[in-house]
Amino acid sequence: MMDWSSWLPRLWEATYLTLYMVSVSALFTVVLGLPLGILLVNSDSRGLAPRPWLNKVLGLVVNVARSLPFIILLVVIIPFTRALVGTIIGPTAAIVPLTIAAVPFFARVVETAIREVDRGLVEAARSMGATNGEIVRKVLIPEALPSILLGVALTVISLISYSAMAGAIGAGGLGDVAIRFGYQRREDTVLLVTVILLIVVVQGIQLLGNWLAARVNRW
Amino acid sequence: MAGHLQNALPQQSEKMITLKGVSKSFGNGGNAVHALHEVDLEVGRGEIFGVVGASGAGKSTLIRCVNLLEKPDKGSVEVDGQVMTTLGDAELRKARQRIGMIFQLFNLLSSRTAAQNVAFPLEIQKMEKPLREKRVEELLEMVGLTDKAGSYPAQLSGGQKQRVGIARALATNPSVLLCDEATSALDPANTRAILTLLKDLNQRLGLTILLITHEMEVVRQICDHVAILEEGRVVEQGAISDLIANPTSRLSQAFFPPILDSQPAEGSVWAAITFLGGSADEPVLTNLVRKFDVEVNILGGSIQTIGGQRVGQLQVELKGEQTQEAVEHLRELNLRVEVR
Repeated sequence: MMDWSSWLPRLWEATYLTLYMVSVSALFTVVLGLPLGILLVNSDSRGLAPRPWLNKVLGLVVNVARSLPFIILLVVIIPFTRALVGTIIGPTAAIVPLTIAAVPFFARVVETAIREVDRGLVEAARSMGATNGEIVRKVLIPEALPSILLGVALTVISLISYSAMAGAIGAGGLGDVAIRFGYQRREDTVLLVTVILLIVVVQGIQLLGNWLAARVNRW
Repeated sequence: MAGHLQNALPQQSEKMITLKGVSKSFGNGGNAVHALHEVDLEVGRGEIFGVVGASGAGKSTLIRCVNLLEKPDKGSVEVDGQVMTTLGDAELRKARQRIGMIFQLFNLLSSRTAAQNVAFPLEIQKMEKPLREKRVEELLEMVGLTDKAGSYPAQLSGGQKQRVGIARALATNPSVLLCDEATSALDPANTRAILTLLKDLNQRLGLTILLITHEMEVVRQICDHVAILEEGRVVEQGAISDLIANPTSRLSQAFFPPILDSQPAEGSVWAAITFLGGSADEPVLTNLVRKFDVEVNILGGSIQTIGGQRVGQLQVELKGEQTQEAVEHLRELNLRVEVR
């Protein structure tokens, strides 16, 4: 029989660490990935400000970053993480690879969402004398917002899955607990509880994303 | 004396839109599509000017060259005394605020209410919020949509959406309104209502309207001037009253298509007689038969109201000894006669 009084604080702590890693890296991902996605759309030949070479370079960087399996990325960028955070162990250090893995993913999500905005709307805004900045702020982002919000939910869910891997190399969190205690020490109940916790968190985020997207969708 | 007086007054040019030698092609090399060839167009202040043509004739490109959504490869574009083709980016954006535009598919922001859509160009113009709200209210009242201010485009009908589009296009008090197939997505009743609104705005505000359409019906209902575009070239241009009076014009033939396409029998001629305004009241044919040795056989005819003017055309077959004299007589009555 399990001793819940010792497990509960541990599970609570792990949940907190997972949410901490995921939410901070999600924040950075949106802050960095949104402009990157907008740049990807608008630097191409049909965009607001065509810069073909910049578009190619950005596209290449994004594809390279996305081709690396997360576990490899984690290792490859160790020097960078150390330079930035001062350590490579712990949840704060994990935020660096999590963000780097999620930014290109989210940028592509934003790119797709913005490409779906009717080009007629951009043309109408231009006919009214709007600047490119105004078109991005007042047309592209608001019109793509429902898709972007669903994309944020998608990205956060991917981050949870990545964070389990980060956990395995010392960042802590639910993934760490599941592997170290649930799997390696054969505590089946712990494994089951962490899995249930992960499902609940993922479900919650998806429902929140759906709800927010529906709230801003005027179609 | 009079000349001096006129020169002393600040004069507004009679021309609102002038295109000179405008060419535009897309793509390059062998695949290039030449959308416009050396197009010259003159739209007078206060006119409702229609550009008609089949799809692919270059109408969309033409209307987009006026506010430089498409940059002409060659030629100049002048709107309200300002040469558009030489403006820098910032000046061009300012100039565009003086040119309203409405679209076939309305192009309203789905994330904004009707009122917020109308406010959009005012935000671009950096108008203060209280002034903006007042102006939006006026505009929605002008297009009869006060009660729909808070509705999103998805909750509006096509006709209502185009009214929002019109209110938005006129928000900054432009001197010109460009209409890109503005009624093509609407049913006949809404088309009529929107055209009536445009005509009304033209008269009340002195708004110059340049519209493109593939529907002659639109031209018939509201235009006073027209240009016909074929494969990127203007093949006919002028006041509708002038063009329609000439049975050989493309415009006239579009409204009154020749009824028979075979050849007249030996010894007879076919004539298309165009009546304008009052001349429709004269018993022309009766007189013709009385005065000349001719038989008149009516092949067909119709009367239409085109640009607010009643125009009739009768297609007849003339047989007999004096067909030449009969035709001369008709021409002396100031009727336009085309003999086929």
